[in-house]
Amino acid sequence: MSHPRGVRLLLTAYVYLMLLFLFLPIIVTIVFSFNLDRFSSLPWRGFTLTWYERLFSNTDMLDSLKNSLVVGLAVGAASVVLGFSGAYGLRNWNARRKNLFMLAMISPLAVPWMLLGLGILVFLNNIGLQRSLLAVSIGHTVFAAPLAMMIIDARLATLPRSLEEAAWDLGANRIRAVWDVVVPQALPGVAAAFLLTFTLSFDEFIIAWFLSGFDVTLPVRIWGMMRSGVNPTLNAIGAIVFVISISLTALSQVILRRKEVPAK
Amino acid sequence: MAKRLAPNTKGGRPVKTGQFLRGSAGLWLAPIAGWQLLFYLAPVAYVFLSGFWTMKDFRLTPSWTLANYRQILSEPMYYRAYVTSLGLSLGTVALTIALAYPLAYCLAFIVPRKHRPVLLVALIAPFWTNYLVRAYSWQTILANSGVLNYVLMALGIVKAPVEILFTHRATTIGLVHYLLAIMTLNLYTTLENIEPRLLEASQDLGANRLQTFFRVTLPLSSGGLVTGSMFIFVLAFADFVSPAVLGGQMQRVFPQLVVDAVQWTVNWPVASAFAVIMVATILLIAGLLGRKLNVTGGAVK
Repeated sequence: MSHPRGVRLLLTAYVYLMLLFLFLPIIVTIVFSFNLDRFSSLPWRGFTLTWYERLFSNTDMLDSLKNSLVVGLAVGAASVVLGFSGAYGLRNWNARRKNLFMLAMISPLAVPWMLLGLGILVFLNNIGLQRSLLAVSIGHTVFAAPLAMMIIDARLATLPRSLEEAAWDLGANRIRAVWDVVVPQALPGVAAAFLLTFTLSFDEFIIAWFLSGFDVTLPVRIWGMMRSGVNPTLNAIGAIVFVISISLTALSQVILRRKEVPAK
Repeated sequence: MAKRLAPNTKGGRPVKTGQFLRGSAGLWLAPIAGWQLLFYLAPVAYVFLSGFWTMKDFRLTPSWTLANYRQILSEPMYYRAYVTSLGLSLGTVALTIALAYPLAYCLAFIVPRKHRPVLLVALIAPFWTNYLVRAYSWQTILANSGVLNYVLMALGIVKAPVEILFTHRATTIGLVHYLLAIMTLNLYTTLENIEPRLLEASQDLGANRLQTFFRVTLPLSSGGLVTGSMFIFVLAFADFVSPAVLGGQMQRVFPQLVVDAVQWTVNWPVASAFAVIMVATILLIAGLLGRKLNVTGGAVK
């Protein structure tokens, strides 16, 4: 259906206006991370790297960054193992049963995460596990593992069965065939799943807030800083997190798009 | 050798590979299913149960009571927080639809196909900063001495700074910014799937553009509209970052009560009762929206 020129122009202008709205906070964050003014307001006071220097000399901040990395790696690893096993198990189920199982597993994504955080806090406390980075990792894996399963399942769906069957015929047992044949083929999916779950865990705040104890993750530390007033160091953190997340997401896309693993 | 081949044969007869696989599917599914059972289903069940329990000496004790719910229902402050949250999130849903619809429409029908992938990626790019930092950035923009007021005053549009930060307006802006992409993508997918011949037919039958939009395009996109609204309501209703950072602390929202009950009073049963009320509200709204979908969906056929 064609639209008159006027409508076209107006709507196209609107799209760019909305993009500006969406990008405004990032632009402001990056720009003000280099602004000398300690109240982050205009007019421009001059260029500085002070906020980055402060950030990198803040040991609390660096500790929480390290904690977030540890949690992210643990969540990524656990999710990939659980996700691969699940996706492999789903291979021979029919579409209806498979979708039902997927839906049940993925449902934590539709629940308010505050509920997950609170529930896991109460539950872990009852079985004698205190708030800790381990508790945060467990909580994050609840939403990350099913996502990993979906990504790996999509990858497995593109692979022919014949190679695995050939491995059985050649005498490989189940585990051996999976490890030597299916895992290498699924590797791009596994890597993408790892990167995505790592990124999500790295960024997650509310579950981490409920479950972290003395050691906190980066978002929980950021929350603490925000509570204590204006601080341009936050802009520097925002800019760095943006660059890291955008690189990891781009990397996972590149890995996923690669059609086939080159044969050895 | 023969032993290794064993899984593929049964009583000397070869078994179909499909059967062989299906038999062990449960084994491979067990780890993730077990994980979700233990760390998702059990905790959620705990929340529902512990809403009826009590806290004794900072320990959760399963002695059954309705006191938590009675306390919540009899406290006007909680009631006000509930109404505030409901208003905020429904307003956010409405505003997000109003902003997202033209955007999705343009992406689906006006932007040339080859430009679309770039624009869709640009749409989700803002999600790659930490949500807390984004809220903080809105503080920088919306403050009385912030970027927006500086620009407005420099252009001579206003004389004195417009007060936005620490009001519900700022909360709504933060929420809409956070949720706009979700709604747009939902709408875009449904609009993209509309059969172009239906729109042509409508025009051939003499409808003008507006009539075609309201009689054909809009009803056909109701699916995306409803699922998008559900997502947005859940996320807006349960969010406490935007209200806390942008709305100030004057008027509390419902999710903040959960946080307060955990952080300050360490009263998990009350926190659980709040959370249950939250989930009940979400299910109710989702149910209403879902029925709406059935009604309009039926009307289209």
